[in-house]
Amino acid sequence: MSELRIFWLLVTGFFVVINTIYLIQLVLAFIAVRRRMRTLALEDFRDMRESGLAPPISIIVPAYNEGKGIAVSVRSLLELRYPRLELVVVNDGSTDDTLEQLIAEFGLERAPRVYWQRIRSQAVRGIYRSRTLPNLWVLDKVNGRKADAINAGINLASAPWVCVIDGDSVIERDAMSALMSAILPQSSETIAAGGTVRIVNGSAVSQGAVTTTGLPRTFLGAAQVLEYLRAFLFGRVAWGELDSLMIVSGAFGVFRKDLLVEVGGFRHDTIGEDMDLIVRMHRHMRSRRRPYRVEFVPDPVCWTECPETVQGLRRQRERWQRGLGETLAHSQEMLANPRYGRIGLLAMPYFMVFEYLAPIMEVAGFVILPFAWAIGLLEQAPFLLFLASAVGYGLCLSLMTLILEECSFRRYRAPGQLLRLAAVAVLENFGLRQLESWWRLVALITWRGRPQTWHTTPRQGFQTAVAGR
Amino acid sequence: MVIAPEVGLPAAVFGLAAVLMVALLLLNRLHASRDARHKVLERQADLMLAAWAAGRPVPGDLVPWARLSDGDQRVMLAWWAHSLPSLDEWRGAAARAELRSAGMMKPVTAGLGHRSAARRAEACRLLGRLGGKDALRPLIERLRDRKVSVRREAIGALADLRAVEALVDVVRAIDVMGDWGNLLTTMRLVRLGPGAIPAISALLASASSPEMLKALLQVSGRLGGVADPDRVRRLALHRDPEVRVEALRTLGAITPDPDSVTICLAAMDDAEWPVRALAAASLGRLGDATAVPRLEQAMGDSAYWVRHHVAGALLALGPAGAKALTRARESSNPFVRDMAAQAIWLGARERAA
Repeated sequence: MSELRIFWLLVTGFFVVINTIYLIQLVLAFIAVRRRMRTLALEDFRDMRESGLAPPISIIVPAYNEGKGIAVSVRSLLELRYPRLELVVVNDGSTDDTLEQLIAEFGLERAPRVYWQRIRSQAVRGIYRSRTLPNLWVLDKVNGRKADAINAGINLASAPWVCVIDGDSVIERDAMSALMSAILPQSSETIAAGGTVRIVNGSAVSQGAVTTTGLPRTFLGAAQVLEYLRAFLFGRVAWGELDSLMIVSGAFGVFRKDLLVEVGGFRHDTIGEDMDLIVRMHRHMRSRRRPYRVEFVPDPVCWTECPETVQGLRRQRERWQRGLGETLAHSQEMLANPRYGRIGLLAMPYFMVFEYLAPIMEVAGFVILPFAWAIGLLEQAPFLLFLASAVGYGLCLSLMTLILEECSFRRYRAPGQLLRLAAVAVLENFGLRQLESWWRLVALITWRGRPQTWHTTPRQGFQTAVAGR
Repeated sequence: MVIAPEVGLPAAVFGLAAVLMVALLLLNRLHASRDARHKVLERQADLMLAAWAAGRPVPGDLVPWARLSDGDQRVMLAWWAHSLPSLDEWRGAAARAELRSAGMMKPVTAGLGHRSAARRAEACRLLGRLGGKDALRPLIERLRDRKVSVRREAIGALADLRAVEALVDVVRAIDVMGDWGNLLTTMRLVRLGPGAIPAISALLASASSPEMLKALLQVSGRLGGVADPDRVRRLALHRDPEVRVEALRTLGAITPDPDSVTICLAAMDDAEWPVRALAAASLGRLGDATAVPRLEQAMGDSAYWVRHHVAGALLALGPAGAKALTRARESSNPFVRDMAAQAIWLGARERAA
């Protein structure tokens, strides 16, 4: 009985602390997004386009079996409104027709380009350049996973800034200008910056751009739209405000190339290579006492496909959990270490307790409390009080996120879309959250010793994307 | 009446959720109706702009617009600020005059004194794009605004108005903010246009901080000229390697001169590889074939980026450079050979294009 009481107190305490953190994050996000919106009010990035001083950027697109959508993705990247772009597509030993698609679509020919291997990567089979688009390069290499492909791309890149983008993504036209305009005031200190990732399923894509924003047809897809909104619009923004950003998404991030080379690029032996990189960058800079910043900019958007099947979602969540575990294990000496400032004392403990170990508490809560209530060990009133408060509070946070979105970027404008997202915010509490906690718990227990391979979400291809409802 | 906590707390939480839901839908409705209203106004403005582009601004066209609400007027002013560059200079000036005579600039000028920094910054931007010379004085005053964001906008606005006469105040404001390292500020100065070359050159002559020198050199390079090239050549020997890099870049961007070639050739022996790389790139732009032997020698530089720029420079230096690349293609050093092969291939493709 006393053990149950202790557990009850633990669960309640966990709930109160995590939701207080979310509330603080939301307040910080409202302040930061409002400030950014004011800056953007009249911004048309013309200085970026016209001054001739915009820093060159090399965009690296790692691709593995992306034959279905790679041409559309590359075309969308070539349409970006940024004056000095170099595009490096890395075909990581695809077994489908990714390379052939690129050769045919962009008129590639073999080029005797010097490949300087500053970061170790698998052997390069060939370097191609477009006959018609001189800033498009394709590097064909032996398969070595995503991190290896990105490292090979970094070796080939010629610009001082490197942007890593997933091959299955669509970037908004001004995204690069927006990202760089946020970096430039402190460009000597900024080492990495990330933008927002949104779900493209259900949206119409034409000529490499999202023309109509819609919601995915499935409940799982819509739930992920809401989840990404919460993660990026208030989670990442708030961590950025606290100068403690631990992750720049692998789907859309800009990095200073010299520093990428200094830290040895992306790690091959981890599944969460994007988070691992940022944590290593923090460690590298803090241990050398060099001033630096890692920024999150909420307005530049990268649209990406999400898994809409239970199996696909399970694999993704297990992968994320394992990646988080690996990153925390690799950098365990930073945890609660004052030498690493806010990263060691704030971000790392948060990710350890409220992200990595959270599934233990969540699953135990989902199983033990209803069981204790069912067999009469726990009184009905406090149990129902807790359950209703948990659902209601989560719903309030989701609705506040939607209000933040409505007051800022307004990508989902139809009232029907907002109502559907609000309904999802209620329904996700009954099954989906429990399932995700369970998947993460399984991944937490079994993450060691799994082989590291490319994991790709089965693609519909953007051409088949359905206009929003 | 006492409400039990097991009822009260969930009721409060779900009540809050209901309020938030209603607020969300109301906001959405409000934004939708505002968007629809603006779309209509923008369509009318589009038609007006098309008529102006064909003829000229008609006096009185904008008078009804001055009666719009403050919020709508601000949105439309932003639209005008964005769209006016599509008119030629003469029609643009006439349109700006029309905006002023219709009274639409009054809220903008008033906005400079608004208590909200965002409104002051917005007013600065609009004045820069839509205002006339009468806006200079209030904008110069904004250079001393308590908010840095407003001061930065005032700098951009003065540059938009090509207010070379305000450059001394602008430089003082940048000094006070310590903003010389901010590339966005440098980009704003480029908006001043070629008319600012003498003034920028005068500043370059007196500047001493490396950050300021770098920024002024960048602006000079983009504007394509300096009044005193000797000063830039001296800066190519500055103790700060970043200043040397920018000075060499600027020398490559301004009118070719034998003295500049000499300076760039000397910089090929610099201890810092970025300086050597920029010296090579500038030699390519200066187009003096006498640099070929030194560049050919530099093909064996230990730094990748130096070899890269040297090969590019040889490619740009015509037949003499091409011959040097062909010889480098046969070098026993694989690094030299590969870089030469890459440059020859790129040159062939560029010629074909």
